[in-house]
Amino acid sequence: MLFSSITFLYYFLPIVMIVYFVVPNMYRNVVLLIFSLLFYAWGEPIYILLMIFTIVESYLIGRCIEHSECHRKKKMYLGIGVILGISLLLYFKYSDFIILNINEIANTEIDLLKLSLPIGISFFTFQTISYVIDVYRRDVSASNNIINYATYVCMFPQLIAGPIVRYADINDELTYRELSTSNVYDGIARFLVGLSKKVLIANLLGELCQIFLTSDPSVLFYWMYAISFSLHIYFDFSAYSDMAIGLGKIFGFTFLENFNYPFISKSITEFWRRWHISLGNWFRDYVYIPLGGNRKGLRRTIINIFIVWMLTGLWHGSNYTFIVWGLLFAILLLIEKLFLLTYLKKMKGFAHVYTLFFVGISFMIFDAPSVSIAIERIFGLFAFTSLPLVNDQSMYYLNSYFIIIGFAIFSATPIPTNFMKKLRQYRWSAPFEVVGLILLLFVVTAFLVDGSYNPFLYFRF
Amino acid sequence: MKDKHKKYALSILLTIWFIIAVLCWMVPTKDISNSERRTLASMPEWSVSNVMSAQFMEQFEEYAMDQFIERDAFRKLKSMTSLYLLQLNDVNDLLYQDGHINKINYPLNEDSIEHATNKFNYIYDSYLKDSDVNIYSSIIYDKGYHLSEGSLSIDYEHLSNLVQQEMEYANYIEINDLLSLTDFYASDTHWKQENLIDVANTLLKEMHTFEGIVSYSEQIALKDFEGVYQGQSGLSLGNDTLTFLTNQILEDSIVQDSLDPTLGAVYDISAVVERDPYELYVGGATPLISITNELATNTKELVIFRDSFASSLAPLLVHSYSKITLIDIRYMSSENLSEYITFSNQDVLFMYSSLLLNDSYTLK
Repeated sequence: MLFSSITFLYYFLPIVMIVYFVVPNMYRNVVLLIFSLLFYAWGEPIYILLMIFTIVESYLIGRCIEHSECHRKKKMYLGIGVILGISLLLYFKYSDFIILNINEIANTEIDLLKLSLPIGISFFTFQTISYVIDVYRRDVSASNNIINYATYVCMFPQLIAGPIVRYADINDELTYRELSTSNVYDGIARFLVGLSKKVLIANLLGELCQIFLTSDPSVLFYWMYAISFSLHIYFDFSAYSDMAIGLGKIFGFTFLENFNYPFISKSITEFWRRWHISLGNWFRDYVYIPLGGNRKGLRRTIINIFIVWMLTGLWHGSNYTFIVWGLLFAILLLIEKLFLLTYLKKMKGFAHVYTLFFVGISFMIFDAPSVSIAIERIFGLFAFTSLPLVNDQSMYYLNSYFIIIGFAIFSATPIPTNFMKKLRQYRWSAPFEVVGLILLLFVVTAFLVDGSYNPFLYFRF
Repeated sequence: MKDKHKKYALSILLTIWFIIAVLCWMVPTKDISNSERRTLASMPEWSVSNVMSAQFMEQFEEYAMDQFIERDAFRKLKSMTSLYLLQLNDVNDLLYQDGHINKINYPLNEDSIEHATNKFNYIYDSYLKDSDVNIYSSIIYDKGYHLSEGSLSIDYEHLSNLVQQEMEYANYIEINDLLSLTDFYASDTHWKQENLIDVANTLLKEMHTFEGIVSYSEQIALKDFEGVYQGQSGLSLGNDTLTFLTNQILEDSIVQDSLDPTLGAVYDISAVVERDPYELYVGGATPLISITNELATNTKELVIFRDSFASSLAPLLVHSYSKITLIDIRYMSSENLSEYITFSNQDVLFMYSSLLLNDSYTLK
């Protein structure tokens, strides 16, 4: 079920809220769990069993690690837990990719499994893996309440597209959380802002990207596509995080921020501190640092960076484009680490252009169905002699989407948020804020009722 | 915002939100959307297999959108926001320009044009080649041709050339210079019958059957005609009037639909309250229909291979023929034509709109 759907907005969410706030505090996790399982089953009824298996398996592993006195046994349970999580991911997400490569290399004809990807598998397996590792490291105590633990794993606000929440971060709130009118209001406001970002910006930019795929090529349209897709993926994903954080707040949970205006970055290093923060932190804490990080010499640091970014790429999808995407960031980060960062700090204007350029290029690779098409599209940006600079279609759509692209660029900076923060200090702003939120609800509903273009990019991860 | 204010704000927000939700659950379902001219999704059947295959969920999503309270008002809000606030040029490929709503017919789909001309060539080779018929062709350019600069439009001349090249056996009749944007409904794809007398006379002259100017009386069938684009876009223009031209010849003419044994009139007034009021003209969308001129002074017949545009034009050609047969190969296979009609000593006109030629895969 999409957050940006009529079913969620006017059927699921009102019912969850009514039941959640009516039942006594002690039953609220049960309510959240039942509705979260229903939410998951809505899209993938059969994979509910996979979800239950993942919950029970990781819960028991956590218990075993905690109760084992022998270090070797703890390590063994940790190994089982991590391998099980990774195996599920490998089987459901990468089996066809692996088979395709075997067939290619060994000239075999092994049939593809053609499994449908369980929604959100990359997110909930990473959460369960982080849980067993944290329990092993004694960063957190193993849960002794399977309802609470199951609620953590499959809580619907962050179940299918993150942010990747760590058990340690919400452990206390799973046991006791304070519900306040103020938090519920803030949660709803954040949810509605996220929903509007998704429906009114991300979806419309997505439409433009779809039009690009069937349009007559021109240099202008390649640039419009590069800019629109970068903004589209940002608004799509950050909007989902906003909605998840907002919903969490309604139900009394505090999820960490996942995006921090990544497009204002002045280096790729800074960009990845601001983009999909929970994923970056996960790879840092559970892969990069355990591999030795930058503590074992330059050669090992380089290897570690390449491993982490190849995995980050692969996490996003089973295609060589994602590996190339990850490796591009590995190379850029390495270059910055070795010498470029010093210069970038001195040349802020250039640093900003450089960052946006490579981020745009990276997302063109990210969106391409194959590496060759990615290369073709990137060359399209500079095909001044072989393609027309502009054509009727590119001019028409530039004219049509000019306001949206401009608004998206403006909204990708902290200016609107800072302005709103200042405005909220004034007492008279309150009625305007409420009217604004109601208007957003109505306009978003209008777009959803008409069944516009409404996919969600990160569902495939 | 202070906590006290947040309490009020939350109460207002949730009250509105929950009222909409409750209305969605309570309001009785509708079967048909008149504005969109389509059947609305109904509540899906509940069964274990339906749920396990996720079909129930998919169907429920459609149901929730289709049966949303005040759906048309929300669709209108979307169009207004898109066009006036976000300054998009079009909504769902529907453009609002020069006071008209028009569907973007772009780019030129040469594959589709080839598909259409292949069908016409098949008809020629199978039925017309060895008969003594006179063959003509004509293309009706859609509203995009007449709109001012700034919208995407196909190369109409190239379209016309492609069709003429593939149909060398047909004499091409150019009619588009006789038309302007005002000859089309603002809210609909079609042209206005009352503005087609020049077009009809030109066709008759080119087919050598023009017998002089005929007079008609103009009658209003529907004052507030909401065309197909109005429904699709959600915008309301509300300034179209559906009119028809009639005279004694047309009043005495008999219409015979191949699907309906009962004889009918040239204009079916009851159609204006149905889903598509444009079906007023000669039975609307139907595979094969004929108009017999009871007052004919000659025995000439005309066969028109056509789309919906010809429905309103055909009555204006009736006075020059004893019988006009309209064939729509979107609804019948061109392979079965000989079961219904014999081609001999007739004028045969292939008359299609650029909209259909550019998306002709429904031609059988």
